[in-house]
Order: sequence, then structure tokens, then C-alpha cells
Amino acid sequence: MALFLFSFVFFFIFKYGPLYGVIIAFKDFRVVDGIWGSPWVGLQHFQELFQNGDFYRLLKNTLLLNFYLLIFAFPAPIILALLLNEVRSRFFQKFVQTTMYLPHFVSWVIMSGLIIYFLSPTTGVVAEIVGWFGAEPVFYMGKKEYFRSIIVASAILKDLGWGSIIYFAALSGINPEMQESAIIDGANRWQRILRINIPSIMPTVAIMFILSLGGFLSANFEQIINLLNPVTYETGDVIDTYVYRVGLQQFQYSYTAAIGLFKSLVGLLLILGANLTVRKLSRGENGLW
Amino acid sequence: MKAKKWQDLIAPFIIYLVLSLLALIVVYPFIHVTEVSFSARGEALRSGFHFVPLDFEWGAYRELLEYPFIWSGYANTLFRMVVGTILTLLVTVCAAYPLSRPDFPMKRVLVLLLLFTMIFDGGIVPNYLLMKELHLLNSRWVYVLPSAANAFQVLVMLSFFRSIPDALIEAARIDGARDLRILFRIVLPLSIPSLVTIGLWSLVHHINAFMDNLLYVTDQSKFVLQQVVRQILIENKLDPFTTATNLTPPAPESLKMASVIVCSLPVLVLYPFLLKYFEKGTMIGSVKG
Repeated sequence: MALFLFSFVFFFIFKYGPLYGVIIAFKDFRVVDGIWGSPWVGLQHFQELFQNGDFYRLLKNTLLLNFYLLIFAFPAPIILALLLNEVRSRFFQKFVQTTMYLPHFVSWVIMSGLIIYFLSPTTGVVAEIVGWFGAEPVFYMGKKEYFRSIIVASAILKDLGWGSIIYFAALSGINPEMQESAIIDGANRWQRILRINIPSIMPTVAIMFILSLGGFLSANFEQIINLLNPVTYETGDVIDTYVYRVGLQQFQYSYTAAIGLFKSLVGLLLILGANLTVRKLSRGENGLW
Repeated sequence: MKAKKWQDLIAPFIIYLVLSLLALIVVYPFIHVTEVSFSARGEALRSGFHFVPLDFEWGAYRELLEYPFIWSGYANTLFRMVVGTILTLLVTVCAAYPLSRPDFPMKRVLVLLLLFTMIFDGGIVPNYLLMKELHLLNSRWVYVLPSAANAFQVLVMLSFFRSIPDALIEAARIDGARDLRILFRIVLPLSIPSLVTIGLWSLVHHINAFMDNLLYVTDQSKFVLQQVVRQILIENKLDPFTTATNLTPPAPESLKMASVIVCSLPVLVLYPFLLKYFEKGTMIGSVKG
């Protein structure tokens, strides 16, 4: 019992404590008055929010970026696992896996630093490769139209191998007799992948999908904050980076707390909705709870 | 028949090609970075591919290792790795063990409260205000205290504790062992694999984390290694190195790449252990709670 109390205090302070601070979204927070002493203003900050053009840009960027990540970065590890599963050589399989896990353990500081370096128009390797095809080097990090692609591509690269572990394990769990009988029935590789492998890992895919929505909208903050620069604000500035910049650096606590609360609520609705949908689709078999 | 043979050859070829290319994309940057970090000015600034240092020079490392904040960064990172991991394990076990006992009151509600912390968070500003109220701003404790409360890890630990046969614990209880004794003599020795996995998760988190530093700490002597390197690599703060009396200062590229190496060293050293335990760890995590 005493043990539990010890942990409970940690969760209560650091996970539920911030929820108390959320009330400043409905107050006009002044540092001297503290959280409780500041005057209530009701929904004023939210009204301001919906009238502010910045908000729609942030919302659009956040939703678009997360949408692209969902359709490109989410399936990527599944495809890698399916490809790895077709490899006969154990050594090659192990080699590819061991290399592809590495970026997962490298911090976003290092990853982003290297991305900026490799994409540089003067010393970058990408400029060199593009040069082989006769294209002019471009300052990729300074072009707003490239920002989302860079985020998505680097997010894929970082967690491609790591994310594939769970699908690869699910694929190894398939009964080999199923494959053999399919071969006898004359199914080719493509048909076997489509009819056996993919349906077999669908429950795992469903769970990973819901889990990935858990951090939806707040994921990739570490990545974006390192790659963002004022030139790319138009396409790359998301709710979190804006809250950090305007809230903490320009001290507009209440206003940005309101944006943060809005984001948290949307995220909560999304994950509850996704769980419900997955459960409906699988008739109550899948889903987290 | 002939067409089928051709297809059987071409598909593996494409799979091997794609996988090799992916592995190359991950491996090449490490070769490039090492080469540039050990190269003299002319070679480091040359554009294009880099493989073997032709003009060997370790000036960048000398400059970097003379920079006091690299050392304080290492010390702070080491602090959070050691203290943070121990604290995380303590909090995780103390939360999961009572919840795994059948006679613990209000289990369902408490697990739901844990789940809630995974899908809803107060946001950046309320968290910042909380740290301020707790006087954790500009304190090294801000690195280790909040991250000790991790609901996901508690759930993983919980599902492992539940798999320990009840008969074992009952037998000990009949022999007169109290809860604490059962925990230390029976449950924990049986849980070493999952303790190692969670410990390594925490270790990697603490090596790579910089967000809490960015948000809550402004005193440079308390910066973690990632944040020190972030200033060099991403914010381009190279002035501490250009004022040196050195007549032939290393190229900024060499400095940056040397900082990448210095910063990734802890992870590279740990990598073999990580590989061994993490693959199993993600499997534990996939168990439905």
C-alpha cells in the first residue's frame, strides 16, 4: 500500500497536476496572481483563437502533416516487414534489420542536424545526387513547399526498421502449412502476400493504428522543432511549435494554453473514435479497450 | 513455364535491391560523418561523397573536448541516465506490483486513470507552470522526476507481473512472507527480463531527451549533452570555437560532425545490448493489457 502511494504521488503530481494548470485557458493569467488568483475570463481566449488567422494555419499544418504521416509513415514498416519476410537468407535479413533499427536510437537532434547537413545545397550529398541528373542544387530546408515531405521522409527513415519488428514477429507466427498448401494450389508470391500474410497481421495493424493515434497531433514535436526555421513557418509551424514560441518565449500563457487544450481535446476525440471504429469493424475483436 | 521462371528471379532481385538500398541510406551517413569529423579544412568542405579521410586531422575533436559545456553536458546526461532510470524502475514497480495483486482495492478505476494519462495531456503551458510552481525550473531534477511517471511502462510491467503464477505467491504468503518480502524475493527475481527492457527504454529516453531541457532549463551549466550539441549543430552557435588562438581552426563542418560523433557515442556503445533486449521488449509491449 505504501509502495503504491509512492508511485501514486508521482502520477498525481506530474500527470494530473498539469490538468489544474489547464484552467488558465479560461483565465487571464498573470504571474504575480498565480494560477488560482488570476481573474476568470470565460471563453474569451477561445473566441480570440477562432478569429485569429494564425490558428487556421496552425490547425491546417498540424492536421495535414499528421495526415501525411498516417498515410505514408504508418504503412512503411508494414511494407518493410512484408519484404523482409520474403528474404530467404537469414544473414541478409538480420543485417538489414540490425542496420534499420539504428536510426531509432539516434536522437532527433542528431537526425535533424544530419538532415540539414545532407540537404545543404553547397556541401550536401543530396545536391550531388540531384546533380547527376542535371538538376540545380536547391536550398531544401529554406523552401516551404518541401518542408512536409522532408518531415515525412525523415520520420519514415527513423522508425521504419524499428516499427517493422512487431509486424515481422506477427508474420513469423503464420503457420507454414498455410503457405505450403497455397503453393500446392498454385498461388504465386504476390497472391500469398495478399491473401495470407496481410490478413494474418491485420489485428496487429489495428492495434498499432490506434496506438499511433494516441500521440496524434503531438507526435513529431521534437523533430519539427529542430527542422523548422522562420522561412518554413507557413507550412511547418504546428500547434506545439507555436505554443512553445508564443507561449513560453513571448509569455502569452493563457492564450496558448487555450490552443493546447483545444489540441488535446481533438486528440482525445480522435483516439476514442478510432478505437470505436476498429471495434465496430472487427465486431468487437480488436481495439484497445 | 518460362515466364514464370523469369518472375521468380526478378521479384527476389527487386526485394534484395530495395533492402540493400535502404541499409545503404542508413549506413552511409555514419561513414560520411566520421570522415568529415577527422578531415582537414579543405577535405571537410569538399562537396560530394566522403569515405576515407585522405587528409587526417583531429583538430575538431581537440577544440570540442576543450569546450567546457561538452563535459558538463556529459555529466548532466549521465546524471539523468542513472538517477532517472533507477527512479523510473522504482515508480513503475511500485505502481504495477500492487495493481497486479487480486486483493488490491479499486484496481479497475486506477488502471483507467493510468490509461487516461496516455491519451490526454495538459499541454506545454500547463506543464511549464507546474514545473514553475514546483520550483523545478533550472533544476536538474526536472530531467528525472516527471519522466518517472510513465503509464505505458506500468501497463507493460503489470501484464508481466500478472503472468507470474498466483500459487507461487500464495505459497510464500502461507509461509509467512509479507508483501515487501514477496516482491523482493519472488516477484522481482522472476521479472529481470522485463526490468531490463524497461530500464533500457528509460536509458535511451534519457540519453536522447532534450525537450525538457529546452522547455525548463536556461542555465547552460545544467544543459544535457543533446542540448549542447543542438546549439552547435542546429543553432550554429560556433563562436566559442572561432575565438580560439588556433591559427588553423577546424572547418565548421568538422566541428559539427565531431559533435555528432561525441553525442552518439553513448548510444553506439549501448547498441548491442539494446538489440538484444529491445526486440523482446516490443513483444511484451504488444500484449493487450
